[in-house]
Amino acid sequence: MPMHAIHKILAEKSGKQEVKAGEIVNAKVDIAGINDIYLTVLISYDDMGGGKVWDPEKIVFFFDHNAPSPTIKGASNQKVMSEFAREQGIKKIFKINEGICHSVLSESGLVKPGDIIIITDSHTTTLGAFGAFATGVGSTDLAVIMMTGELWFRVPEVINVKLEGTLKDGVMAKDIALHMLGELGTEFATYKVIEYSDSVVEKLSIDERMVLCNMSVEMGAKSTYIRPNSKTIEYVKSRSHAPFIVHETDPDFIYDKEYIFNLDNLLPQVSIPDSVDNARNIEEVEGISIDQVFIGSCTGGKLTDLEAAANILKGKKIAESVRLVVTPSSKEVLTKAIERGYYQTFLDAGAAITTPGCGACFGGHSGLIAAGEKCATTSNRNFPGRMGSIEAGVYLVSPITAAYTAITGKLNNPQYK
Amino acid sequence: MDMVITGKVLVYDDNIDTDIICPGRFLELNESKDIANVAMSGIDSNFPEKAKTHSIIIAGKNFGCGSSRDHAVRALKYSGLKAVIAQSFGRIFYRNALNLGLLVIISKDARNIFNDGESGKIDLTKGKITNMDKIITVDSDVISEEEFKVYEQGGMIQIYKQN
Repeated sequence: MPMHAIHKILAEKSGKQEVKAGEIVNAKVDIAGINDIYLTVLISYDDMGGGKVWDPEKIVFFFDHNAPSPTIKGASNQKVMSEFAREQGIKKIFKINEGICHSVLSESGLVKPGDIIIITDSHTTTLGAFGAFATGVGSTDLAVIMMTGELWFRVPEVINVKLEGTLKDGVMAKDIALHMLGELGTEFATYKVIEYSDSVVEKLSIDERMVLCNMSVEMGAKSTYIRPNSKTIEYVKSRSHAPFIVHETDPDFIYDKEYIFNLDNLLPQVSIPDSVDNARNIEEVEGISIDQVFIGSCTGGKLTDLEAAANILKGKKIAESVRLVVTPSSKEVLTKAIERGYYQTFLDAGAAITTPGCGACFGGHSGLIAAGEKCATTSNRNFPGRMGSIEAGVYLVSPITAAYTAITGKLNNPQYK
Repeated sequence: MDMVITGKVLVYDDNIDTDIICPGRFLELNESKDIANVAMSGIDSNFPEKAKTHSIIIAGKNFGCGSSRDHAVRALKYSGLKAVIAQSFGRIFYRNALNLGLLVIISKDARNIFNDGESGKIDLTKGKITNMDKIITVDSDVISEEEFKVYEQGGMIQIYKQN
């Protein structure tokens, strides 16, 4: 029976010749990651009987949400996790200086095509950009992996999203994702894998591919897939010496569904409060006053994102009425952004720059918004209360739109015109 | 666990996401009573009080979408809720619910026959949901025997514990 590359990964890791959509398999996990806000993982682990973990080499802690901790409770949770890791011989702890799990895991060579990566963060779908099977789970599922090295999965159907055409200036992967949400909603891919293919995807940088895969969880996707091409292989080999297999999808594999988007005429998109699929063309919302612009998160805080924003902000000042918060996604991004002068650009423009991490995006700290305020953000969710007060409004935008909006204090992006 | 569950209902719309059920700033909480105290605080600060007299949530589509946090399931379970009925669920929320033993039931029509505070009856084996005040019954998905056993034992976590 013809299989998708994702199915071949699940078959290999569950010791089967073949698997088909709908089947339940128990698969071996290559990396199990725990974020600092989920001490509940260790609570569930204890509830299930505790003891020695299955393989300390394959368990990773990320101190990324509370980096550095804004509360005593957050610090205390990190302390308990550090002690647990020490007792268990877990060496891979990305501490508060390192950045967001999805960025640091790929940068440190721990994500390869063909891997199964499971993290307690829903945006783990990001890592499908490297040809891995990657998904987010809750604390108890993660605790099961810590104990056994395996987890059950329903083998998912695969949806093929073909992205054709040529993007206009000023249009980014974020705009594609918001447009897809506007067209297809928040549920069309629930329990399924989204594969991104065709000419636009081939041309996109690794960072931009990660944006598509990242936002796919907002469409309900369990995981994502982009067929590794020379760019992917080069990236992975530059960071890891470990061998890996690139599984090929069989030519006669039948997709659950296929969507074709021609992006020639796509305009910059804005998802207005309070749902990610409230996507609008920039023209429809141009001029809405914004109180805070946030450039950061696993979606919009990578080097390409900071570069896009810095190119627009260079030599400019942000509007008097607005505040700009910039949070790089990782230490590597931070270092390169300093080397390339982006930090000076942001500082000169009037930005506040924070430690790499998840901070404002999940409404934790370092850039929360007040009742009645509006925030334009390169992050991924605009649910009520996501970034602070439940009476605030969150507008999802690309880094280019965010930068122009910071300059005028009003939603805009003239670059496509 | 009983095959028939009764209680007063609270009704919610579509897309009740995990930030509504348990906002991000509360993820540092670990104690059950602390997590119960912030349940649904993204939409209703009186929820913990209401949960003392209401035990079933009825919602539209995509309940529990968003983050992977199983705090969302814990918050509802620790509040004393017996069940959540929705037209559909976020994938990770559904899995977390099965793990932690919060009963989740899919019904396309239940949302349309209830108002806040009315009395509901869930018949798990027959796949029926009844508004006891209006005496209207609609269908729900039937819970399989395997799923029922999981719930009966308090979720997958209890089964892993025994093994």
